[in-house]
Amino acid sequence: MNLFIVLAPVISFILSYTFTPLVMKLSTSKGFVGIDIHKPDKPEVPTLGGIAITLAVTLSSLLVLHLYPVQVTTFLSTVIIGALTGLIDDFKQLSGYPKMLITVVASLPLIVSGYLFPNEIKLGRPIVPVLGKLRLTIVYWLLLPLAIAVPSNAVNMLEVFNGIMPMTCGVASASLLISSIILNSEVGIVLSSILLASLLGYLPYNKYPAKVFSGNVGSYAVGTAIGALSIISGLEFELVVVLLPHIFNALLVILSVGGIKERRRIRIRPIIVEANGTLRANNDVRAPLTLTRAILVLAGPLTELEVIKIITVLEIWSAMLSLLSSLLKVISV
Amino acid sequence: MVSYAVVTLIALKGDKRMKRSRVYSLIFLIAVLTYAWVMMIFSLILVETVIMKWIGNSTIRTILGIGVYVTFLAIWYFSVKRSIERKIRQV
Repeated sequence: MNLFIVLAPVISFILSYTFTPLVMKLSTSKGFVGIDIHKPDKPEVPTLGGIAITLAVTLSSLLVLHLYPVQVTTFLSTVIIGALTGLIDDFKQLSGYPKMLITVVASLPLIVSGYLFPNEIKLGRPIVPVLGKLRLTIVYWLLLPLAIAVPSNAVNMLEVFNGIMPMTCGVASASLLISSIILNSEVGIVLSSILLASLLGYLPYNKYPAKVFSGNVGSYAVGTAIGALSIISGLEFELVVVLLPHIFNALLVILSVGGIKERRRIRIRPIIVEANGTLRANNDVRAPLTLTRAILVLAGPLTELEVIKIITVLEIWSAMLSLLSSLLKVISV
Repeated sequence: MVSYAVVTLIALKGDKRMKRSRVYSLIFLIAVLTYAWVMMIFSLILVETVIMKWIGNSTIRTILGIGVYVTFLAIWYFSVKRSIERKIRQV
């Protein structure tokens, strides 16, 4: 095995772990802080932690650029567009539809690379469980822009509690890594291990109680990274399955508020934070439906940590369904 | 599926404070995710074995295929949403 393939995830972990405290200091000094609304004392927490993840993924991916030039260039172009979208949103607070449109643009590197280098990036014939290769000659190209826009926005929409993004996306990356091993996709193994390592390096700072928030830059970068690496590695079906909790949450929110609306513009909150920090579902029928509200409706009032645990178990379940899909693919091919 | 159930039970057993309502919520949401996965595979099988095999015109195949996927998504989403909303009304 090439040394760079082993070295890239290690470097990704080290960079993410060392860059995050620096980003925290910089973010605090420049006034980029957010209030942790789910804590009784409402502490101020530095945002923009996602910059450390983006830098770690970008710099460590450059180590394997000479091995997979087309795939890594495409992956990085997509991730950088995603991260920039998030960063602009952190500074300017974009509304829902422009953000969705920019993330659709983030799929352009994939479309261009798929057209120019069909041997390196194979698009249009996804493999699915039971059936094998599909003949999605038209539908695939219609859905391809959504393969980046949906993961990036869905990851952003579920990132409402401490550590949720690195935990759930870490589980998703680990699942995609194992799927890549099962399906023998070398580039999938490399890219998913780089992403997983960067999330593991970041998790100690973002886990409950968070010392840093990822910001939109973090959730958009990681969402686009998961989408891009899945498409590049031929894991389209696994992508949808592994992000089921995120997609379910996004569908609930979008359909209950009647469109893509910015979180800050939703007046009636889906959950209520009690004085002691306990979370309970808002019983107002006009409040938007979210995965967290559904959990609190079904389970009753919970602490933030208990909600985090339930969402993580749901993500682990989706990861196992995704792995089962990969095994069924092997049988059907 | 048995191994999945075992893993979930181990995860739940580790947290002794997990009350019955929390276990119920987890089982309900796990069922929702599994239901989505089954619906995805079933809709793909339906499109590939019926529509792609028996309809010759490519445009009609595409429209019908997308129609099947959207219908399955709508059935899944609205059945789940209805169950959650029923629970909200009970609360």
